[in-house]
Amino acid sequence: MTIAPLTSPPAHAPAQTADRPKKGTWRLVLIAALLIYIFIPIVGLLRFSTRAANGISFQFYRDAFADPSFYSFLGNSLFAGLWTIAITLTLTTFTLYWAYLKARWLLPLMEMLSLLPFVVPAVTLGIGLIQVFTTPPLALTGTPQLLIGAYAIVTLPFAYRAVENSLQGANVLTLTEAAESLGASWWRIFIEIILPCVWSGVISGGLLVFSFVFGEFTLALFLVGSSYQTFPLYIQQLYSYQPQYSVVMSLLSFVATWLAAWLLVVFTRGKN
Amino acid sequence: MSLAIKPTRSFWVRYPWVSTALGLAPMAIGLIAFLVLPILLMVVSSFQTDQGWSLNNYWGTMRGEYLRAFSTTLQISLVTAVLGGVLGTLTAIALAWGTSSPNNGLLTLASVAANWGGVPLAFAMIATVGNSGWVTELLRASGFDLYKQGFTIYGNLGLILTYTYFQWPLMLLLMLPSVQRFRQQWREAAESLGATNGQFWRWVAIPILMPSIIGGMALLFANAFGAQATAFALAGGALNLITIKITFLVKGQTDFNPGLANALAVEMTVVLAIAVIIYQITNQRARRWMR
Repeated sequence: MTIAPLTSPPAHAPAQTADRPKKGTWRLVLIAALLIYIFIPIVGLLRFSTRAANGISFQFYRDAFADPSFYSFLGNSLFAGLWTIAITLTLTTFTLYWAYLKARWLLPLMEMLSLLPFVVPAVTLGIGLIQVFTTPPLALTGTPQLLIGAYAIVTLPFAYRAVENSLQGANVLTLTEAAESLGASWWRIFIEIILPCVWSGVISGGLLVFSFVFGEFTLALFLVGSSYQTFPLYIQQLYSYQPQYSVVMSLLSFVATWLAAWLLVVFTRGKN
Repeated sequence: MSLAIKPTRSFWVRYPWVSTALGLAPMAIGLIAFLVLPILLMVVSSFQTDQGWSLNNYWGTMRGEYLRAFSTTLQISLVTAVLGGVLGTLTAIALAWGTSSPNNGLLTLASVAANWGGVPLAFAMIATVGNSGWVTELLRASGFDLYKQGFTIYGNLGLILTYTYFQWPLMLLLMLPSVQRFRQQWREAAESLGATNGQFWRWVAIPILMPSIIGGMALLFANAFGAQATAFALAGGALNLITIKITFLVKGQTDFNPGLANALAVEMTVVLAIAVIIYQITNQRARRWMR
């Protein structure tokens, strides 16, 4: 971590900081404190998972990754994640384009969706969904379909932010009118003109959605429980009988989240 | 007269709202099935018991352990919102006013920490300040026993410590835009009028940033109030929080009582809605300074 450049004075305003030589200290302390707060628990995971009678051992890593059930849970999470990405992003991209084109009054309403997770947290949505989907015509409780459907709704805000950002940059209306006057069909306009414009938004949205699904616990517990076990459910159950494996998996989850965030930065930087 | 001329797309031209509605239908159906219907059903069945319509579920939530759960959740959410809010705001100021552009790596790390909560975080905290966590043992070796002082990671204080892990960086990310758009000219203006550093903070910086700070804290409050995974993994049923109570009322064998769970969830939704409305109002006020 490079802390030094954070506290050096900005290049364009030297006069401002010149007469305040001691201002940098509390800043440095605060930023260092945040970094320490973030990393100390990670060190805890590392130490717990490598602790052995005679020093350090990576035996738990080997064993945890050799366990075939790990791959089945990981597979379940990957399956749910990829389907959620496909549904959420298709739905968001198409609906946003349509709203831009034909129903601009909808945009502020869709913007409100981004506050949805705060008003309707996973617990609330979970108990609502299990009551809707237990009666026979809609008996989906325990199936991955229900979980994926719920994830598709919960991740709409992530997808919305990302796609809307790139849609704003492109002049959708003009592009559509130009293509239309040349005789292109709506579908062709959407696939060949609009989609390439928002591709970077779709990729960032996909990363956000995936990183959410990969760590989501509450909805999985409520909706599918033991009948379709996802990776976070596995980490939680493992803890009671094989805590070291569970801690190895927790570390893996941190690395995966960090990797997704880093890829996100790379993609958005490439776009600008 | 001109009936012979038959335009090819007459239907779509004559009824433009049909195509608009058709295009929006998939999203609308998804939202109705997976969001509106579940919440409606939750609200309706919260007013129902075996004997028909009644408020019994709500009376049930207003006594004993459920009332205590409500007040514990409220207290913990308030404490972590203020703690995370103050730390996050100060860190945002430290980052934005000290440099030309905040370090990208640090912001990525903050967004990871803000989003990573849940089960893995609970286990990371146990491995760190649990009874045999590495920091606990380090302190014990240097003569300070956290657990003899009454601390436990499985209690309310432990939960506050754990929630701060994501609340602090979340507030940093929420505050950064407003802090970055705070013009340094405002400080210069205050100084050229003879304001001291203290006066600058008291009369300029804090009033301008206050709407964003309150809004951010309202979101942090909602974030902690609705959180379940971290607390559930940390202590199972030992923590007396609303979300934990709801979990056991719906998933548990002995406490099974969905009616009561629905009533608790409706009450929770009301609290969260108030927090989000406060965020919306303050956000609008904050934008006035950001043009």
